[in-house]
Amino acid sequence: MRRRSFLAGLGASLLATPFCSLLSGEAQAGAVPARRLLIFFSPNGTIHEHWRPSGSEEAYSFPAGSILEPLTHLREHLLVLGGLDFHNGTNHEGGMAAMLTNGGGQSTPTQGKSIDQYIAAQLGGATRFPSLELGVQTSAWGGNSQTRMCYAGPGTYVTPDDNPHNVWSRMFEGLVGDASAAQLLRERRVSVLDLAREELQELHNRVGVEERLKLQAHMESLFSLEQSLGEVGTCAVTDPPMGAGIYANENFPTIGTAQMDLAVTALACGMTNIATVQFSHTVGPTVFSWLGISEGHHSLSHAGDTDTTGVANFVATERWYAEQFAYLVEKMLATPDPETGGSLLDSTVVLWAKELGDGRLHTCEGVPFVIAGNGGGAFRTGRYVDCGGQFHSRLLVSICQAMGLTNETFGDPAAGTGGLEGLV
Amino acid sequence: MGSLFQGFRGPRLLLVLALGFALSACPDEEPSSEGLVDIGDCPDDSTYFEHRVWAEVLEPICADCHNSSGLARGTDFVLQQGSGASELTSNFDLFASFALSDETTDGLPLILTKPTGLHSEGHGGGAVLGVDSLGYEYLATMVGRLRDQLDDCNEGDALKLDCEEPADFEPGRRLLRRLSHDEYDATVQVLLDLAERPDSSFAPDNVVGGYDNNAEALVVSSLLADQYRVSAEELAAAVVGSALSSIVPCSPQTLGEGECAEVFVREFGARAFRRPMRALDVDRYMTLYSDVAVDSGFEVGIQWVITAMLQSPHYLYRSELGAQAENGSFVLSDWELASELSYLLWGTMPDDDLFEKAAQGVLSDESTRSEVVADMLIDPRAAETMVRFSERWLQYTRLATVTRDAELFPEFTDGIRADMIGETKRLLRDSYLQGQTLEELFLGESSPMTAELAAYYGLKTVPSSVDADGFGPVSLAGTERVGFLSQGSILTTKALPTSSSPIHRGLLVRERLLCQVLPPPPPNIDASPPEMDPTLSTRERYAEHAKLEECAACHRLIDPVGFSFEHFDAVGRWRDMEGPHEIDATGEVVGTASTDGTFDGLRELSELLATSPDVESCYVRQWMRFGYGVEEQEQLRCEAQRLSDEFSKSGARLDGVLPALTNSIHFLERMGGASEGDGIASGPFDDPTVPGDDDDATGDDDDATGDDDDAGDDDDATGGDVSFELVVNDDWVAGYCATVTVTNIASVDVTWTIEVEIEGTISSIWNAEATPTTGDWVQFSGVAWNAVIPVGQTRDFGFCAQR
Repeated sequence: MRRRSFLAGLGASLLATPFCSLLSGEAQAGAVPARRLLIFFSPNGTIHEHWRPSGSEEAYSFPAGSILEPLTHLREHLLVLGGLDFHNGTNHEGGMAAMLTNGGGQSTPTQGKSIDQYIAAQLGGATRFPSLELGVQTSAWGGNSQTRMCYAGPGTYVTPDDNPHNVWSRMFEGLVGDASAAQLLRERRVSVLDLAREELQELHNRVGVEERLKLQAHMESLFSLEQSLGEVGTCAVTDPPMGAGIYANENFPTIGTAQMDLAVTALACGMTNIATVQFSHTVGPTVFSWLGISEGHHSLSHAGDTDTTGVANFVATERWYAEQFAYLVEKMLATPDPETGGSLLDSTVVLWAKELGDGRLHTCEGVPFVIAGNGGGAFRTGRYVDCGGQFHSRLLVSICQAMGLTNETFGDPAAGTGGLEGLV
Repeated sequence: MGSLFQGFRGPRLLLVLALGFALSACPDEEPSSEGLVDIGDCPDDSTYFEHRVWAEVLEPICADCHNSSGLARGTDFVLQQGSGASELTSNFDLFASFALSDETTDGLPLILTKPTGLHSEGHGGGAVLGVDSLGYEYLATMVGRLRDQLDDCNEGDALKLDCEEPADFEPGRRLLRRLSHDEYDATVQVLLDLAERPDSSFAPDNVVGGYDNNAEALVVSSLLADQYRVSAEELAAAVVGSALSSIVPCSPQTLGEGECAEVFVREFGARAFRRPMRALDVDRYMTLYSDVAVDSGFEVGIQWVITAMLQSPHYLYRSELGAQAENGSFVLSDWELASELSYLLWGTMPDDDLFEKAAQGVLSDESTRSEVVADMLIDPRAAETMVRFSERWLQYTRLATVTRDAELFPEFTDGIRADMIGETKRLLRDSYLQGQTLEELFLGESSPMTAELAAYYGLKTVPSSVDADGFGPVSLAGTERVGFLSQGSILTTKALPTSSSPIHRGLLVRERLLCQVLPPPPPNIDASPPEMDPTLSTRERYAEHAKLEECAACHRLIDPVGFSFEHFDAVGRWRDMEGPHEIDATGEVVGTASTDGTFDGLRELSELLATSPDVESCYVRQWMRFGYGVEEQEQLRCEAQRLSDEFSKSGARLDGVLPALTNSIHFLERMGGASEGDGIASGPFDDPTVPGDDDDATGDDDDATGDDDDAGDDDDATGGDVSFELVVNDDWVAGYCATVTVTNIASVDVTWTIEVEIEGTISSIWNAEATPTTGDWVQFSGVAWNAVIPVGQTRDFGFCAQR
């Protein structure tokens, strides 16, 4: 019963495109699973005609002035995915919730988790942080279905840290000072957590289901906290970033850079294998004053086609996000993988995700995604692929499989089985 | 299931009560008792359906969207339009299938919960029928007739949601309420005797309905757990470094270090946990103390005790659990009442006086409690609670971060922002302290401002006397401004970077003042806001926009109300003209139970709202959300109605809600949650004479749970390395909850996995992960901390499932 509606001009190109194929046979044969996942989010959908690359699948390019043009020099590392629809979820809130989860409840194989949390749970254990969620002004409105994208389970948000200085402290605190003192400190911290766990267990036995779930979440948090207090490895301590004014609009770019730097550092020295950098949130009101724009991002995302100034300003803001993504990808390229000596990008799936297709229509059809890095050889990059209306749950499955997992569905199984069609 | 405590009301599902009473896409066509077709006293089902259900409700209210080409054509409820025999038959059958469906919420079918907004997933068209409306009565009667609960004369057990019987006035669910960030900061200030309130700057909490203290939404995320750790370590180190003697009530030199530490654990712990310490609690913290002190001495030992207590669930959660009484409800203890009073009225932990009263056991006595409450209400901290509430209710502190075009509005400086927020806070605080009414809040003719703000507003007067921060009363008489809705903080927060926003301002009135929840714009509609067009006024642009049929149903409720504010620009200044355009601030409030009417400008809108019973009732509901930390639950519905009635009767004084909240049944008692039958271990945590036991207290209720076959035929099974036992703790028609105990029977530690055939679909699970395998079989495995079971030991997990 799903209705399809495309902006004029979009339908034809979709029809003309064959199945979306992420992988080549050769690439698949030599693939070792990617070890890391890095998700970059920017809100409020897109305008397809200003986003879509031109040219053929492999000989694609970004038209002058288009949203993705700032990624031109990285073309060979990218897999640009058009024509992916959400099976579950429409509108701002629904799109935000479905983007990394594809809906689905507790009883689905992925248990309502977002892909970062699911993969962290499947692969986690060895790193200090099962995952790191970094935010750029995500929480001025508090946590709700508009401001959260990472889910530990149905309706259970994972809170991103909007404060780069706080992130830095969590990452590096234990690296400073002498080793035996650090060891003693760690032991004492763990005994405090043990005590709290004993109390939680006692409380747990005296309350009903709703409160038990709350206490279990607390228990899980203490477990990840304990893990994060473990050995800190051999990371080089970076300079502490800013920690004040984290919700001041004009600090948005600075915070974004700081969080991206921290994410790459954490991945590079094995503090975590899973990181997300969330810029703002759906309906986000960021004003790109540094570009000389005075309307908020959400308002701009609603500029109709006849509102040429509004559309131009929206495209400018989206190009700014493309520049941030380019910065992140460049940094991943330039950072060595400590295990292989190659680039960190080669062993990581980097995903630029959005929550809406055309923001003006509030729909989750043709939601734009960009993958950077070949996922350890799993993805054949350097292509623009139009997925022709396949459900994006298949992309989530493909990413899981690129990371060595075997699940055939993600989220609501009704969206279908398997990765994006045409693989191998 | 097994025996029940006498009077236990059984498991129930919680509903969120969306309060859009009488809010309808077609409110003008709300059924009225006039002009009804006479169908006699005992009509048959088809007559009743045709003349009451179809003619009065379905056709005028539902069929606009629920038809084969309407907005709701994709739902299962698609009506045939027309009143011919075949349409009526088809619609009757459709209605009957919903009336008889097993898909219910709290025993009510979708056909009743959807239009009233009581369904947990809401209703795409918003709440279109009030539960006290005639239309609802017709629907409920029809359902009762179809279910053979009512006869043709409508005699029998009607399905209704009214509040007549004493049993209708139920409390909400027993809760653990994690401290909000405000409460945390205020509590450590008192607990550690700090001169300044610390600013913990924890990651912002989840927000429900505008409130960041909703008990269900407040959890300890891994980020917050780390932030609690850092905060606890820093606070403990600072206190031990500077002011240890002020919080340690003994001398380690005189009394001996160990003994003094125990006195500290006992006394400081009782304040941190807001109840007496049990022997078990003392043992736990003394063990920690000794482990640290043996290497690092007394002070460091105390420091780690403080660090641990500030991360303890007994500190971080306020217990509103109670102890089970004979009638099955849970009665809150005096210690729990002391915390409820203190956090509700003062936003912080109890002081020594209140602890003393709790120890005496006098707080459960209504007259003593009333005296205590009266004393607490005149404390300045109560007025600050009013301010904290207002920040969340009206959302004006967002002004601190909203962005305005600096070129268009150079006068709108950071100083003016701060003054605007200061103005609203002071108005709310003063109105509370002076015992003013809600009406006076809307229609007040004076407002506390700085001279700069008065000038910014273009007022000709300045405050004659000012406080230390430069604020003093400025008369609004004879100006365009009146009441709190004309304050810059509200007008500016609800506007856009370059223009006013009738939609945001209209929504403020609908959602925050009338408690009407409107659905988001439907997908696939171009929801672009009207373009900037210098040839049109803002109103003209928005009016054009709302002409689209799909948009009009909601926007006719929002926009006209928003237009009343049009004389105020994006930064809260009065304007006679909008550039070259005349301003039209006339409009009409429609779709409310008792606020409908026309107005010209904000003053007249404020007059409509000032004495509206809808606004009064909404104000009380907002306070319940804030004060009790719950969204409206079906259980609390009648209590909410009673409190609003009382509020209105007593003249709607702003200071009248707080004391009323302390005398509600919810303040004193609670119901068990969805899975809590009898046998829940509810032994008090706060009785120091109870030694406290650490064993699994849920296991003592065997006769209530039984080991029936409902949840699979594999209750006791052995899987090689482990054996497990599944006990159904509670069981109702639509679902059940079970606890599973897994025992390691091998001679080595095992990482356990078990497979069980489960009836129904798992809806929640704790301490394990579930993976469906084949058929109804589900594989369970442990979570991080219980995946490995040492030899001979057991681990528990549990789940609930829907059938």
